[in-house]
Amino acid sequence: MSDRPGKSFSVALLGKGGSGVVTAGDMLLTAAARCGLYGLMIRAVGPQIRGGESAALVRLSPAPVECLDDRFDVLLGIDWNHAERMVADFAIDANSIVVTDPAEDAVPQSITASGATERQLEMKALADSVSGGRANMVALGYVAGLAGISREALEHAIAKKLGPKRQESIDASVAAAMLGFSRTQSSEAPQAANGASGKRWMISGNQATGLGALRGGVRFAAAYPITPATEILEWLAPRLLDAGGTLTQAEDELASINMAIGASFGGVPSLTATSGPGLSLMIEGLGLAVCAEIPVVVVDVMRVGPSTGIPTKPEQSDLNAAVYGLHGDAPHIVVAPNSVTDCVYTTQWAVHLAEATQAPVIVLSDQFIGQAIVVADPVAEISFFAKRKLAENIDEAFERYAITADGISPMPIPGTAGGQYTADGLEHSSKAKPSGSSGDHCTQLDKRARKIADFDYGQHWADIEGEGELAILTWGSTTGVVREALHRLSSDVSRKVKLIALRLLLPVRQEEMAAALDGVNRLMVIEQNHTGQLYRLLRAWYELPENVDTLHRPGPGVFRPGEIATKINEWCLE
Amino acid sequence: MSKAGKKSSQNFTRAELLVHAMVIELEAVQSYKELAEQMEQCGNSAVAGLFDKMTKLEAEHAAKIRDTAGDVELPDLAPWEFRWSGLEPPENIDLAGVHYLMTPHQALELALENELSAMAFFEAVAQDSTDDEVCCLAREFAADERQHVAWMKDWIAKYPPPDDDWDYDPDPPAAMA
Amino acid sequence: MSAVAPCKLKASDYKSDTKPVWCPGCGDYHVLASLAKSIAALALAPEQIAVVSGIGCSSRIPAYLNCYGFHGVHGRALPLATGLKVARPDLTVICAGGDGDGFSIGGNHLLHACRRNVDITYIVMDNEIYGMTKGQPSPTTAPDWDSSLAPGGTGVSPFHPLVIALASGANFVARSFSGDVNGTAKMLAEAISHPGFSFVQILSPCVTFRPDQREWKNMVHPPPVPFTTDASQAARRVMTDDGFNIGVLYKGSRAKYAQAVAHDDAFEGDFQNEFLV
Repeated sequence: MSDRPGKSFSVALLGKGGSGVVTAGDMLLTAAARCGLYGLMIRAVGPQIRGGESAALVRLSPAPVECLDDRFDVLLGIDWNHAERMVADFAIDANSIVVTDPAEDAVPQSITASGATERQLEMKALADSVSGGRANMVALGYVAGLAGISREALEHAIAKKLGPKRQESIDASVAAAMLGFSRTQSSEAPQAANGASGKRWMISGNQATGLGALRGGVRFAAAYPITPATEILEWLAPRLLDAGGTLTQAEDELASINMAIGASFGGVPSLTATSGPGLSLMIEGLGLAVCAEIPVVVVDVMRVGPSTGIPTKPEQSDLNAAVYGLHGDAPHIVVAPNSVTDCVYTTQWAVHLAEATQAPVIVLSDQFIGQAIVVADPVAEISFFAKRKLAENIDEAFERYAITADGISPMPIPGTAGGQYTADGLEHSSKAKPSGSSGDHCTQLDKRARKIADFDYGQHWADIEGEGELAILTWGSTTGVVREALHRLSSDVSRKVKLIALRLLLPVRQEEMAAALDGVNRLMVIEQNHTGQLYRLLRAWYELPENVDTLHRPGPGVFRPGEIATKINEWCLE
Repeated sequence: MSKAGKKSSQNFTRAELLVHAMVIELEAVQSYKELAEQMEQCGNSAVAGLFDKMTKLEAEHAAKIRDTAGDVELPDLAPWEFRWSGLEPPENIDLAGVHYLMTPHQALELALENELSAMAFFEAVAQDSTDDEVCCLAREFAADERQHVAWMKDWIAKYPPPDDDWDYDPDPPAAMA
Repeated sequence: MSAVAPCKLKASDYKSDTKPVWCPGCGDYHVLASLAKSIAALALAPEQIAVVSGIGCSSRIPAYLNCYGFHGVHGRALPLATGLKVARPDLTVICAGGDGDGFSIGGNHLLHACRRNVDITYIVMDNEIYGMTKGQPSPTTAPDWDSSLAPGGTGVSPFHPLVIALASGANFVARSFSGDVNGTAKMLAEAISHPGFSFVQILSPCVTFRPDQREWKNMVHPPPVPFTTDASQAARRVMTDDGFNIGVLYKGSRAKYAQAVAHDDAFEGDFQNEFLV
């Protein structure tokens, strides 16, 4: 029994539309959590909205996991319709088990070529033997058995998913699952240590983002649907109402960013969420928020770009747009969560930063951490909350854009008598009057730059782990893969490597970075995009060690810990 | 808008007549003041100066009417409850006649129009009124305006009429957005 | 005669000391005067009003009032105003701009603002031109109007804003003429008081690029009949009129957009329990 995530158990459940593999995956994850395990699930889909092939990629482990493993222990196909179209998602090898229903077509050659052991499971026939039984429940029972999950946990998970009002359906599902369960002899997976079952959360990154927003004090959201960000908005819609706030659906992203800015001008902390194409439409609005000094948070759940790209797959390729996309000299903040659960923390921090600096903050999440569902330890409360410096007790001398030492000027909220001003995208004087003078332009530019650059970001700018003369610098969802890769390295290698996961991408933190890189003589930058966008940002803004390597490749395939570990090993030996 | 805004000038009470007279002057003050500022912004100091003078004259006239009103409690009317013969109080400058290159002669012509309209307004009230006191007061106001008309005519005579190319500007307008 | 009001300020008290950029003679001065008169007549406190605009000559209007204002980006005034009003239903939110801002770059927002029916008043100062960029044709420009950008005219039929507003669900639809300052003030007071989305098109001459519009004062006329509560009847009327009928065209009674409950700073709700397994 090891707490290394490498000793985890990975299952891919595959089936055509209507086969219910995602529901089965969700139940498997819930049941595992009940047994004290940790886990992660990704849904992989083909090109159809309904009826296309679909897969639930589930990884279970006695220790927290933040990424997929290199391979799957089990690939179960309820059927093999169009399985070839998704074969790249299923890394299986000679040690893997392929489970197939003899009533279905044979396992495709592209899969059998791996040398995996084939097992037969009469899913359809077993399901038909139970009134209301379904093949996906038989499959669930079977893989739960392989994963060493208890019958009780399985029943609990099925009942939880189907809900209290569907007892007949629960009974049928449990009966079918038990037929599958009983076909396994013994567990072939690592178990949770005795007494390891503590409180667990099951949460997706998009839900975690919503929770961070609520915890941070967001009470208005504007929404325009876009994959893979929509769940943030759907999660927020009813909960904002419960919290005394509101969500408004916009006609497009141009509207959603401006609605959020309007609401925030009214004093209500505001957010919108989108993905690459939507971010492009919001950029003009973000420039307005910079100039008019209105706090606003935009979450960009990155997907493969440019343009429509591959909407259901991740890529870390919106960094340039987020950092450099605004016209003019437009200081703003860009942050990135580095795991599913970190979405809570980073989003809450983003709200805090936006409110404190009266500036827009872009949160760069991505499809992987946004849509992955994890079983993890509960995310503790943190003390960031929206706190805007408000103008109160206003006198004759009040200036909305007063030049202050920290660059932050007290903001009157509509309704405050005497504080009336016109927020403006036109350059303005400290009194908020439109101005074309170079004096006003320079002082306001300096002020807006200063409030962002001089803000105290504390230790949150990066997560720094380990010590050593070699450093890996990464960000976002790639962080989890790198973390696991470093765990896998032999201790004589890993003790030489430091991990720096940047949470604050803009503004740059030159002093903090210099301290973090003190004693580091080689650096590797790892990220998931085609051009090495972070690498180039670092080159432009930071003093780096003489030797800098870069490992970057585009989506849609995510990095796997094994390939990173291999790369780091080679690099360390160079 | 010929058919719009025609309201009866009949049966003004004394207080109503006073508030109409007062608002004519107060709105004229506001209107001339804003025009003076606009002309100043556009570099037409000559016309800005004239409009400044008009602002002062109208303010003095307003003060005079306030004295006439004395303790009379004036009714609180919404802007659209006044009974003007046109769309606006008679001494408000017609913006359609305003141009940034307009000459003093043209500006005074507009002002003269205003005084004539005001005179006509009070004459109509006087003519239509069945109340002797109101009639008498309206005649008094009309007489004041007649006096202003005479002044304006003398004043206009001091300035030559505009040349044919008075509005010629060799430079194009500025683009601002 | 109006009743004694809670906040009795003169119309001029609602104007700021910022000097307009508008050309002398511009109809927008009159709209500014009308708006100040309407909010003075409604006795609204200046700090309880927010005037939100986009880009263009007329969109400069917020800075000339002593209310809260937001001069946003081109075409996005309505979403700004919508977000503000939904988040702060206690405020009186007035949105203002021109025909290019509202009907061209912001056209989509007009449709959805009418449909959404948030309780805001939208004033479009229509001069059938892009004035601030020196006279290009806008969606309401006649097809044969000659300009540098469209020599000989656009050849494109003008947009019919009032019909669009009716079809999209605006709850109050009216047309006015800037030169009718007091009539416009009355109409704006009505529009502001009417629940839901109120749309007021104000014909406001551009004396610089459309000197011909100085003639509008002689062309406008009151409508032959009073307003209707029947949107289809209103649409028929406005589609067959000469474009110079001024007055309130339509008053609807559609429920306004559901307002959020007031922002509650004291909220300490717990949304994390749902994640426990």
